[in-house]
Amino acid sequence: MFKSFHQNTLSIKKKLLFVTSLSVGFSFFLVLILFNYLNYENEWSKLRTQLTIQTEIIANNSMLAIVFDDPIAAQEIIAALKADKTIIKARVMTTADSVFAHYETTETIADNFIKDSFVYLSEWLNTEINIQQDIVYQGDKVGRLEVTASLYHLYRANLYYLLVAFVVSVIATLLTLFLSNILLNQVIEPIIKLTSTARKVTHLSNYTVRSEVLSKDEVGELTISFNEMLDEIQRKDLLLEKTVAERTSELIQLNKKLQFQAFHDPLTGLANRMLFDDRLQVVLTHAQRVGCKIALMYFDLDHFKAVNDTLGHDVGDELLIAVTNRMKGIVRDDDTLCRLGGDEFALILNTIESNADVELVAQKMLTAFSESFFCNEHELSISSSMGISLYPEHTQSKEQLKQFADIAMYHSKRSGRNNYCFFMAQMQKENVQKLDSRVLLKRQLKTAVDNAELQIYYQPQVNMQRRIIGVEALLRWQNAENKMISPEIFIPLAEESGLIQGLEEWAFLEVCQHYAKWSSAGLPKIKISLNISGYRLRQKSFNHFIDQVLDNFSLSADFLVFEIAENEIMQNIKETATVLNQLHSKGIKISVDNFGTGYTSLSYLQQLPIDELKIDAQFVRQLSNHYEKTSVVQAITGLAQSLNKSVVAMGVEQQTQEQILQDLHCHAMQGYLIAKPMTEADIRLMLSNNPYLMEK
Amino acid sequence: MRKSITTRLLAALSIVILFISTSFAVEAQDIEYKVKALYIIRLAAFITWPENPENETFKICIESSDPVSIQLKQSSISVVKGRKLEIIDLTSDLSISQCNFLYLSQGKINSAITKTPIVTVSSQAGFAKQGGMIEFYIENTKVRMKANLQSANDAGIKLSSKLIRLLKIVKPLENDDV
Repeated sequence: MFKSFHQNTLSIKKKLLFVTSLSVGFSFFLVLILFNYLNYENEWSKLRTQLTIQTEIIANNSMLAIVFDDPIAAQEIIAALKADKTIIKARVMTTADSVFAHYETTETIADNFIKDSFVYLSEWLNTEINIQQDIVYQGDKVGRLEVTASLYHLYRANLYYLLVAFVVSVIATLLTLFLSNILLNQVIEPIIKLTSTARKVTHLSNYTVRSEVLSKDEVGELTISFNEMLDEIQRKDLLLEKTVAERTSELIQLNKKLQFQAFHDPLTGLANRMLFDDRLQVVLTHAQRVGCKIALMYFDLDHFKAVNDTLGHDVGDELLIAVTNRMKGIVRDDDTLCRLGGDEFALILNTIESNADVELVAQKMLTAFSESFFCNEHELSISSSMGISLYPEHTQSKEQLKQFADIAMYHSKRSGRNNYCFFMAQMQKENVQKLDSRVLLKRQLKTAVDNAELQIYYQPQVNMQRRIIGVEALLRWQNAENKMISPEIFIPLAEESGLIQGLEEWAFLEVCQHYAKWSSAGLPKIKISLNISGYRLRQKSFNHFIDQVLDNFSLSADFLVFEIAENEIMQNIKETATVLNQLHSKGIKISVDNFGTGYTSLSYLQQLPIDELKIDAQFVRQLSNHYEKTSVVQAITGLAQSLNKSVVAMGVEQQTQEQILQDLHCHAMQGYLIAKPMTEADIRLMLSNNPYLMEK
Repeated sequence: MRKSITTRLLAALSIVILFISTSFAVEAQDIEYKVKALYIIRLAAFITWPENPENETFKICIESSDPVSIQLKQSSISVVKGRKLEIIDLTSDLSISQCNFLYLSQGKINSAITKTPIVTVSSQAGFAKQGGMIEFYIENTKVRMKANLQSANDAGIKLSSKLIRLLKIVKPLENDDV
């Protein structure tokens, strides 16, 4: 029990019973011991008084015996002490200290245990009372009476009392145990009820259970609180269940949506590439089993990029939706129309009888395209190029079926667009080469920076007095086979494969490094123009990257001109404006590249922090003495002047062009007429030698 | 504390008793008389006389020739019961009735004095039986006393109960013809 008491594993009832009974028993025992002690003290003093009186009487009585020298009489007198069992010894002494008479009890103690214990006790305690009384005759001391009493009887009585005390204490303990057991039930029962209720709630997770309120005391209050708590939990539980159910259905909906999104193109709602693959597999398997023919048709929209570039992506997207809707009206229900990405679509034609069936569909589609599309108040005429591969006529493999359809589509494009082509074996050869070279280039581009195959070339920009005012940094790639690859080829490749960011960062670092070198060499301060893609411009890390690099070379930003293509600057105009303002506040000039090829809102031109417009080379090339051909450039320069922006003409190749530009108050120009792009070493030499380039 | 005469006497007595046990008859006789003399004086303390006129001496009447008388006279005790001790010779013509103690060396008790408050003492055997109040006798070389309570009662003498316990009580003869 003590062990469990110590480990606190006993029930409250047992603990209370234990403590109460023990306390009562112990208290009883203590009180009885105290009484016993007081009683003993009392008895002892009583005994002593009694002895003193007896001694006095005997002394008085034995006086005559001494006076008349009668020891026998004295003996008789003190023998009277025999009546007192406590007296064990008595002596009458003469004044000469000789024994006149003496008495000793003959009584022996029968009880062995008590006797032994008493004897043992006598070694430690005074177990006798000694009384001496002088015997006086006529005022003179004639002798002495000595009486010795044993405390044995007192001790025995005391021992008996102790035994009684112990027995009474034990009885009291048991009685308390019994009574407490009855009374505690009243106290404990509500707690037990509460505990069992709590256990029930826990085990069954059932919050509807309530505990019965059995008492009006603290436990009763606790029970009420407990029930209230259960109310609250039940309420919360219901709420939670409801919420969970709601969330679950939301999640199911979301999951369905996500599942749909995973397999469908969000713009048109058509199957995406993944679902297309899947469907193609299913259709192929079915065809293989049944032994029927199927056709796979790839088609895209001719010049769709131009729509995007000139009218914006919104219009492009609307066009795609319109095309989808029109196509849906043509194909059969069990044919699968998919959007593979961009303006590329695929159509799986199920169980066809003959090639004529396929041609019929293709023809229908071409007819459908012949009608204009109305998108966002724009009337758009667009055509499509289609490529068709057949199972099992061309191949039995799914992958090849796709590849062949693709090849056929390219073939159709090359043969003048707005038509369809069935795959033919000879197409494959041509295409393999083309495809291979693209893949190879992409692969090479990945390692170009590391292999130092890329270089920055600088093309000088001069003012109308042909003084160098800046340079445009241009990327040049001479691949491992020492073949110069045009930026027009590798930049789109880099954009496609996500390498553009690395390229631009590398270029920016190079430019900054060069400029730092020129500065320390004391060369004249010029501006460096750098092409920045819209994608990179809007990246959050871009701003920080620029700060970091400039800081690294301890350069201020005011030598930089960021050239951004016109069609890119107008995308996400809000975001772009924020970034451009940040850059501009650093001191970086913003230039709109290829100005005139895209579509620029004049209001934006005014709002954005644009410093410079670069007239696209195609407009400059047109410059001649024919007035109508100069109108675009004239309009741009006029616009720039009225908006207080500088104008730079690109691709100046002829003297006449320079002359006209001068007449149109163009501010600066660049082109083969002035200088070709050159290496960093060359431009450095040129700057140190002759800042007035080709001065007239 | 200054030792009283009695104490000194008792001490002396004790020594004497020691002597007796080992020695001569003459000396033993002397001691016997001395003890008897002492006992007579001591008895006074435990006896109540009917009347005790003050300023009167305490009288012990004894034949002057008796050795006990000699011992009494030699005794250093001069005051008994607060009164001056007077040893009176029996042969004188003093009235016996004035005696507190009457020690009879010989002869029988006169019936005339049996009703007077006089404590009669004698060493004669059968004295108590014959109407005397206290009789000395020897037992185991010790002086012992017998008492006739009837006589004392008749004479109006009261013996203390403690004393009575020490005395050997003697019943008087039925035929009181002595």
